[in-house]
Amino acid sequence: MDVSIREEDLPARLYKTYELKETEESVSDSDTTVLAEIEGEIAGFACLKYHDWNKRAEVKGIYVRPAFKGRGIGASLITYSVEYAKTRGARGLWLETQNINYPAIRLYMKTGFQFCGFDTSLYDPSAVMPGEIALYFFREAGSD
Amino acid sequence: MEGQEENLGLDLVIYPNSPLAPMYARNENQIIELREISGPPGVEILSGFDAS
Repeated sequence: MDVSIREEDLPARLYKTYELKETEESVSDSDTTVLAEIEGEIAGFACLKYHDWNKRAEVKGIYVRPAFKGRGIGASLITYSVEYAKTRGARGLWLETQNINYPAIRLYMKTGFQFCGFDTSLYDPSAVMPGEIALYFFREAGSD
Repeated sequence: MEGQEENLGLDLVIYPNSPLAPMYARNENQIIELREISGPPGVEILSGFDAS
């Protein structure tokens, strides 16, 4: 099956709010949190988990404070995450994001991740936007 | 800061005497310090972020 990602403009700017409780649940089983600090202030963080059975490190979430966006925080957290994966002997990093999360997709592709799959049924349709699906990305730990 | 610097791209510097933490990324005049803590983030970290 040949699958590719196509960019398409939305008719209007899209805003989505994530509740704190959802964030807590999505990162609650991570084994490591990486903090990015600027002058002692937390500018962002990444939540990571190593899966021994398939030797993959999972990026469970990357968060950047709005005031610090566009300053390389996300890319720095990805770079650290790659080092985390190497240290644990992982063959690569894997993550899930949403097809509506354009900034995240751009960040992952810019930092060496490649689209590796999707799931049209992962999310409860009543809890997400119409057409919102899960996308998966992977990058090898050794490729810089 | 001491140690031989190894440039890994993304303008990021690792200090080999501490392979994971701390790590520093440089972006113009700002220094991003990266450090890891064990386990998931606590509420004190999560609540510092706007839910967006």
